[in-house]
Amino acid sequence: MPIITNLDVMLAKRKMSLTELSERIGITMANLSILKKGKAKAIRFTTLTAICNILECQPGDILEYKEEEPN
Amino acid sequence: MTSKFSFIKAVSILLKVVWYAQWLFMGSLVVFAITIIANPSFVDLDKLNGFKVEFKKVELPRSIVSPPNEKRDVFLTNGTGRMHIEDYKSNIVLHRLLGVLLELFIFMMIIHFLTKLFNNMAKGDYFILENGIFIKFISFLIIASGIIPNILYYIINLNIENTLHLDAIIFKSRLSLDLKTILLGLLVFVIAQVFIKGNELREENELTI
Repeated sequence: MPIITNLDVMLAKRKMSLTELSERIGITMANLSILKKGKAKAIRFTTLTAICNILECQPGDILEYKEEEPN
Repeated sequence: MTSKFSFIKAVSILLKVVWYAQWLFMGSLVVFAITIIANPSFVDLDKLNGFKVEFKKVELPRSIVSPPNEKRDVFLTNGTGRMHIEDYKSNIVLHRLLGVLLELFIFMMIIHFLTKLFNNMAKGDYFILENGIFIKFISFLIIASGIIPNILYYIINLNIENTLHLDAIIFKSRLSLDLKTILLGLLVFVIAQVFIKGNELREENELTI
C-alpha cells in the first residue's frame, strides 16, 4: 500500500500508549493494531477524527503517501 | 435462526450418507465392470435386468419397424429415446458402464463439495473464499455433467450405429447436449462469483477501521 500510517510516531511524540489511545477513542486494540501495522484497507472519517482529536494533530501527521518501489 | 442452523446440519448429515452410499454403488459398478472384462460371456441381458442401470431388455417398438423395401432413419439419442437393443455386445455394455461411472463420479464430486459447503455454513462461515471456490467447482461439474456423458454416449451410439444392422432401418447417432444443465451450471457459476465478491467485501469491511 502506498499509504503508510505514522500512528506509532505520533504516539511516541505524545508519549501515549496504544492501549490508552484505544480506551480514549473507543476502538479495540486489535483494530488499532491493524491500523498501526498498515494492514488496514480503509479508515473511517469518524476514526480519523477521533484519533486527530486525542493526539491533537492533523490527518497528514498520521497518514503519509509514499510511492511504491518497482520490483 | 436456530431452526435454520439445524436444517443446515441435517442436510450436511444427509449429504454424508449419500456420499457413502455412492461409494458403495460405485464399488459395485467397478466390480461389475471387472467381471465383464474378465468374463465377457457374463453379459447376459437376463442377468443385467436386475441391475436397472442402463441395461434393459426392451422390445423394439413396432412403430419404428418399417415395411420392407422402405428405409427409415432411427436416431440414437440420450434420455427417454435411448436405444435398447437385444444383441448387446460386452464392449458396448462396458462402455455404457463407463458412462454411468463417469456420471456417478461427477455427481460424487458435486456431493463432496456440497458437503464441505454445508459444513462451513454449519460453522457459520458463509462469505469465505473457500465457499466461493467450492461453488465454482460445483458449477464446472454441473456444466461437465451436461456435456461429457452426452459426448461419451454419442461415441457409444456411434459404436452401435456401426455394429447394429436391422432391415429397413438406418441407425444414426445424434449428439444431444443437456442445455438446461449447462444453463444451471452457468447460473451456479454466477453465484460462485457473488460469493467470491462477498468474501472480498467482508475482508474489506473487517479491515476498515
